[in-house]
Amino acid sequence: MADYWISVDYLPLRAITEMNDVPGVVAQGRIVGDVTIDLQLETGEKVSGRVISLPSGEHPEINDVRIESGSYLAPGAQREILLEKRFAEYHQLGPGDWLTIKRDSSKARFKIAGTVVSPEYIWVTKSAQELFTSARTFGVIFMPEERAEGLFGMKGMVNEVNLVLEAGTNPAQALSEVSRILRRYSIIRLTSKDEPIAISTRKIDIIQGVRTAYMIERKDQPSNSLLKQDVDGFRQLAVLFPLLFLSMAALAIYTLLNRLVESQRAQIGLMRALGYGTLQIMFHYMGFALVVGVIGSVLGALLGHAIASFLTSVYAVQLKLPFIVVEPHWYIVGLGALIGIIVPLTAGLLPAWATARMRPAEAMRPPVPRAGHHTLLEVLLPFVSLLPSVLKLPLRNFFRNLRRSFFMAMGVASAIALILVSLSLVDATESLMYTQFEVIQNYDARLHFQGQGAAATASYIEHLQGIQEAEPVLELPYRLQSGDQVADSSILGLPQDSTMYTLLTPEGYPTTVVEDGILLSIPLKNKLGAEPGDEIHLEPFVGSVGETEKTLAGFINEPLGGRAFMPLEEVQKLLRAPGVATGVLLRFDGEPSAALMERLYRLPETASIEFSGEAKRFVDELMGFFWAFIGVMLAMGFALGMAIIFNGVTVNVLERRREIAIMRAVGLSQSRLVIILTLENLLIGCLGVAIGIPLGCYIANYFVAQAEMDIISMTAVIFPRSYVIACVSALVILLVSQIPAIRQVSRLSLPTATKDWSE
Amino acid sequence: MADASELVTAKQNSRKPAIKLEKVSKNYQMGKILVPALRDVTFEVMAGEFIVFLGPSGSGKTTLLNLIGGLDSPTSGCIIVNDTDITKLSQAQLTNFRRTQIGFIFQFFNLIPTLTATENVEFAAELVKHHRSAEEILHEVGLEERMKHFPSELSGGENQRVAIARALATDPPILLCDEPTGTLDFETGKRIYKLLRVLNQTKGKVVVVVTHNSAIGTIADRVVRLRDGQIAETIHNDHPMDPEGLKW
Repeated sequence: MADYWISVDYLPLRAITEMNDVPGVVAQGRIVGDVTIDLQLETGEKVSGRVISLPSGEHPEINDVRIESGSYLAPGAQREILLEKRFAEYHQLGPGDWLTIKRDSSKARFKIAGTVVSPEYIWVTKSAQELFTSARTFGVIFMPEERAEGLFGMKGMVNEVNLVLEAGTNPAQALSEVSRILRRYSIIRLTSKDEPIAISTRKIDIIQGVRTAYMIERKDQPSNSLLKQDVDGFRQLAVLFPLLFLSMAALAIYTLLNRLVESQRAQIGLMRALGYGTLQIMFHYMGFALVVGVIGSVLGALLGHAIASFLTSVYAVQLKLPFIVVEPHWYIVGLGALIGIIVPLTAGLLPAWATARMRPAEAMRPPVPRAGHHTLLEVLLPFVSLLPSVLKLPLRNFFRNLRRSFFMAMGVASAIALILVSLSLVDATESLMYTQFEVIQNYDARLHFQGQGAAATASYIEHLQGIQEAEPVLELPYRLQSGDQVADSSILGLPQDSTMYTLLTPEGYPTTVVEDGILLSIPLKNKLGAEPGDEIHLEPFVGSVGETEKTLAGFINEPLGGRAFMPLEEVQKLLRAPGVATGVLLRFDGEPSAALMERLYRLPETASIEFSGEAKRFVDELMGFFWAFIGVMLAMGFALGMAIIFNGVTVNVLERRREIAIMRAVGLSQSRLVIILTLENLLIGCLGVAIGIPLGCYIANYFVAQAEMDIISMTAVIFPRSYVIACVSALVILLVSQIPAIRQVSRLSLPTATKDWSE
Repeated sequence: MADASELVTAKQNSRKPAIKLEKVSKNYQMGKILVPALRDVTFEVMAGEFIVFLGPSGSGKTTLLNLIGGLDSPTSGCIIVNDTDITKLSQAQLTNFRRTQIGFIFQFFNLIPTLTATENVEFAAELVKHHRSAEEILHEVGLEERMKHFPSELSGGENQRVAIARALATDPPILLCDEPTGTLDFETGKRIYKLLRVLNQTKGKVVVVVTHNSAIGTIADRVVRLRDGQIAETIHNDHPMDPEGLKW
């Protein structure tokens, strides 16, 4: 894959040869241009394509493609093309099929030689401005150089240069050499995202007819940048989720092992009596804990690797990656194993150490009963003593064993938090989709103009049969600056009384564009760090007018996009072009007819029509991996939550088997015993809910904040159903978990349990 | 005037048996070995009797107590307690039987540590509809000053008295005591036996004590010696000693 992409209007191939002579530079020229693909869609939408030239017969040195089916372009082939896999799959096209490509008034048929994947189109996007591009309406076509030259009328020319710098090459020096070569071919200025041309310079350039080239670095290449943002977003979650799971699991393991070793108090006493030293006992338990830790860690690492491979393969399928390499991150495996060993070691050693230090006789004697004490509850609620014993006993047990109740409740709280955090990401995503596509984008389709057109077209369209409403919009790529902070985005000009694009405040209330100010979406707010009242410097990416300062009037919650908003008239004023627009928002009267679509496409301004439903489906598709990720996290959250609660309940009931046996011996019926234990566990569950919900909300808010991307702004939302699912699940798990323990206690030998303290 | 022994004998003869064991055997499966704990034991305990089962460890005395109390079931034979064959009862019926007919007093007290003395007694008392107040029973066993205390705040003797109070809570006709003074000092143990004797004499409770301490036999109406799961000897004590005179 190239390090740099330089777009020019045209450049002779000689220039590429010269660039290759620059030490450390590998250059490749190619032709890139947009065409129309002759495919009929039910909706009447037009399908566009991007043609990229490739040498026939041999693979290019830079930006190579990988053949997924069929074969590469044959030497000297003129009527063959390669099709990007996703587009081919969507339209069920494959090697041997024919495709008609239209440019201006000419048409040509091509045979598909193969389908390919390209590193430049892992995320197939038209441009940085049109990121959400569907394979339904856009495809990438790779064509033999000679044929592309003919199609675009560029014999012996290229319009894009791809550069790779060899290791150790100084980029500034190499690019300066490339600039010098470009200047020799009348391309005076080489600009980039990081070095845009000032408007004043642009004005002079236009007057003098100066040719410029625009360079994109690999980090800003749309597909690469999106992929990076996506991976970065997941990286955050991929660190936070395991951390959350690990800490919860550590708590559970600690409790379990701690209690297990504590229960062997008599055996430790016996070992001491037989002559084992404190250290020997410590080593004994250290060995035990080590075996537990090592087996757990090895199994965990293997299982983790399997899940990682699964998730990576899902991601690869999602992005149509041709191959994947799953490599263990040894430091993470090591860290996990270290925690997996240290926690059981500490949990086992602490009680073993405490017991081993006791005199053997003391250790072998029954443990001194815990000191009972009256609780605040009884002081505050004296009527507790008047309650029937099935209510009184659970209440007393709960409050008089606050430490045990609290630890157990923490287990429930952890489970609720785990489930709630996973569910909150589902909710946040659902809310994002709903807000964007049901509340904000209150239109059925958006008609994009080719460049700028007349806003009055909207009025014309509104009168067409089958159109309920039409509103002009004007969207322009802009650089925004507040203090030292810069953000490249776009400004969307909306009619003051827009009914088709609902702006929402961060609190979720509808608002409108502000006459003398600018509104920023949340990602822009975060990038610029600006506050209402601040002056925002605006500089357009294209054209020689439109630079200005606007007062920041507030913020907008737009989950997808990350744009700025102004009144349509104000943006037109910036352009000094009253009455212009870049598109029209459409609301159809029912399903649009083929005739209506035909009329819309035949409008001279029309470039494309983007259906809201299609965009939503496309974003849904893009979220595929996210859902898989959340699915796995949810499953793990449930599993771990279940394990923590089961563990806690089992230990809680089994630790008290003697007490329970006494109750049974005295004459407490099995059903009453179950009611008492269930009520006590429910009380613990309620405390767990009270702790778990705020804990889960806090972690969910933190996680959602970490998942923020440039173009996606997630808001932490937890639907009531998620609270219900999390709490009910935890309580059901709690109640089901007590069944095996109660059954075990019921089968307990009462004579043994009441006689032998160590039972 | 009839002497005391005649009185006791007459009293016994006039009573019907409260507990009756007929050819009761109990075997335990210890891994692959079958261990007989009781072999064809047959005897009766009369209403109002204070009986002590004596025997070394492994003689089957605790097994016997557990069988009478419905905590365990025999391998063969039948056990009739107050006209009910408890070997034919279901688990739920056995629970009810324990609740109404038996008061247990264990060697390790077996009190619930998180409940006060009153609450421990109350817990048992509330298992039956018409019960006495826990305070009243604790007063009876001399713990009126310690009612609000938790087991960890009471001495061993006091804990055992709470256990006795708990055993009395449902007003059962039979008290089964398994080494009730096994963990107590001599003076405290003596006080516990005095209390049990009083309950036997004033309330007519059948008191069954199992112990390895042969000195306790001196205060009983009858002493049954067990050896290897069988009754080795039965001694009728015509002149049971006042527990105050106990020595061991």
